[in-house]
Amino acid sequence: MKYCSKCHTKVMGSLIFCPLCQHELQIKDTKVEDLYPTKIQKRTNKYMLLKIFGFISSIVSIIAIFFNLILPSKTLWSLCVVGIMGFVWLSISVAIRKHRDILKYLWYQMLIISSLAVFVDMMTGHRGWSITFVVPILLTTGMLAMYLLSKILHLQVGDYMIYLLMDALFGLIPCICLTTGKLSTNIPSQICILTSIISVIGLVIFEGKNMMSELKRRLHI
Amino acid sequence: MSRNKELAWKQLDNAAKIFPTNSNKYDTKVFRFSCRLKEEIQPAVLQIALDKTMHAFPLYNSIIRKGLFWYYFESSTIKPKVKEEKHSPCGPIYDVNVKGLLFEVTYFKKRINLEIHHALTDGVGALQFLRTLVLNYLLMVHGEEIKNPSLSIDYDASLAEREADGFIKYSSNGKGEKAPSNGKAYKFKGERIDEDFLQVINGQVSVKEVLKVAHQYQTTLTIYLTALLIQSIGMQMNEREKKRPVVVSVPVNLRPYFQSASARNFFSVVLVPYCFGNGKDSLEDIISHLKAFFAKELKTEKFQARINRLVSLEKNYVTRAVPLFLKGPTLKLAHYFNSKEVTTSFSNIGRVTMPEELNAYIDGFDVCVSTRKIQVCLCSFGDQLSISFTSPYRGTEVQKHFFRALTSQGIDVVLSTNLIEVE
Repeated sequence: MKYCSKCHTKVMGSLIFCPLCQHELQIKDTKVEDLYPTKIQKRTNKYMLLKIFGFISSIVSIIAIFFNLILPSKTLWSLCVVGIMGFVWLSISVAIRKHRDILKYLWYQMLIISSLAVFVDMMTGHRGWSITFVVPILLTTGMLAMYLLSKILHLQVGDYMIYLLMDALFGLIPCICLTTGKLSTNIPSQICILTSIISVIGLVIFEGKNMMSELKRRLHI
Repeated sequence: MSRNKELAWKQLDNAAKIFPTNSNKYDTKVFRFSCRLKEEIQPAVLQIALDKTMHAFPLYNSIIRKGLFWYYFESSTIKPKVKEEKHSPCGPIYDVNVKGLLFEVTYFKKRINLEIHHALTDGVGALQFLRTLVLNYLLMVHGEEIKNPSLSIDYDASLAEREADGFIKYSSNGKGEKAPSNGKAYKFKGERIDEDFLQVINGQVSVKEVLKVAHQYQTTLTIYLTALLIQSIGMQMNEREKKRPVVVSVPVNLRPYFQSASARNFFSVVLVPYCFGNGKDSLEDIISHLKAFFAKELKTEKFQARINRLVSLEKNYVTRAVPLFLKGPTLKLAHYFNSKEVTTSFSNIGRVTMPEELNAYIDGFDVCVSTRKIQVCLCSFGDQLSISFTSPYRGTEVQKHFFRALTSQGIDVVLSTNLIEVE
């Protein structure tokens, strides 16, 4: 035990200075017992990677805008670069934040990549490859991946149900694209819609009760 | 739990609803109860004791999940693991991206720590858990010496009573009332220590000695120490800062007022303002102000009106229909404006008791809480009163004035801190 002659307090532990007045402590007896760990672990900064990438993508975006403005050009191609950088940054940020919840992560990543594809498609002349191929194929493989992961990882209903269900509902969106008649081939969209319908039927028949209780929890008001 | 069994789930109680959105790595909304034993902790035994304790507190086996409108607790299969203390106290426990239990049990040398996120329970609820844990641990280590193996802590409540939401249960249709606002309060300023380091300065004093002094001022221990805290804050304020009131937030355990035995949150806060510069500001002045204030505020009817208002806010159709992603920012804003009106917080958990046979093995109990301001928590065990200041600031002026005021009254203070000296 130590003693502070200014505060008149006894002080435990291996401190040299008084924690209150920072005055040097007198040693009363040699019994030194720390009540707290003297070496503590710093919590890791998992967002460093995100900061580094945020920095790189900002620089790339600024350089793109700069050259777009000073070089003679009729199109605003730099917007495309900024958009892509934004999506990639979002994708990495989701990877860092959500990677522990694998299905949630898959779900977010699918939305981001689909949006990125539609964005790039629109910026590069509206040829429709994103809604013809990328989006339906992503949604279909997403559903298959989620189903397999839920079996392999023995996930609880609450851990996959909502994402599989949302994926299946989004999988019906290609219906709209089919009616517009703008798709060069209908096969990917048709497969996606079929998979969605089968998923929903499968969920209702095998996990119907669990699905209802999960929805009840998630939607309680 | 089998995969097909319907999962148990529960709504967050009224007070807990604000905590998930407002906890972050700077303000973790985590508090810590510790029990100091007289011998080194055996981690393996502590683990068994913890597993046993979990049976009595099933709600502790939950994680927080996000619904479309509200957060909710879902029972989980995660098993709590006892760990050695390695981080600064009251670090983050709840992370929206990680499915994890809302409490941690750690040990360091002779001390068992229970760190709990405030969404799960309040101080009184957490204390029941720690007492049960310590009881189970000591019965396992010293079962043979303790003649009476059927010891239990005096917590007689059925599972349903423990898991009840006191706010809902005791709200009535009577009038609701908002606590009066005191305007912007004085806020501490100063250099902060490393971003996620919380400094704890703990002082152990004798209950009898403090009571003796409190009785000289013809008041209670809580009022005397609150007054000392206000005076200590005043001593480090400059004249300009004294234009703003010092507002002490005092959490009040509502269980005795409503005969509840809930193991979840059931507390209210009384905001106690004190304006400097209206008199001599002597300790007597502050004490008489506090006495009058508490006599006026600590009444069942007042709390009833507060509960009614909070529950009607929660149950109102508009609040309920707003999706969670919009509720979050609203709750953050409300929390921000509320925190502007509070200088510090003073929570007295009161006397901690254990079965008499175990007292020989226990040195004492401590309690502290995460904060972005300076906060004081205290509890007592036997004659030992443990006063813990937590603060993210480098400066220790308030703590110095507070403990020097105690020593100047002839009270012995034994300090300990987690602050590491860097030479």
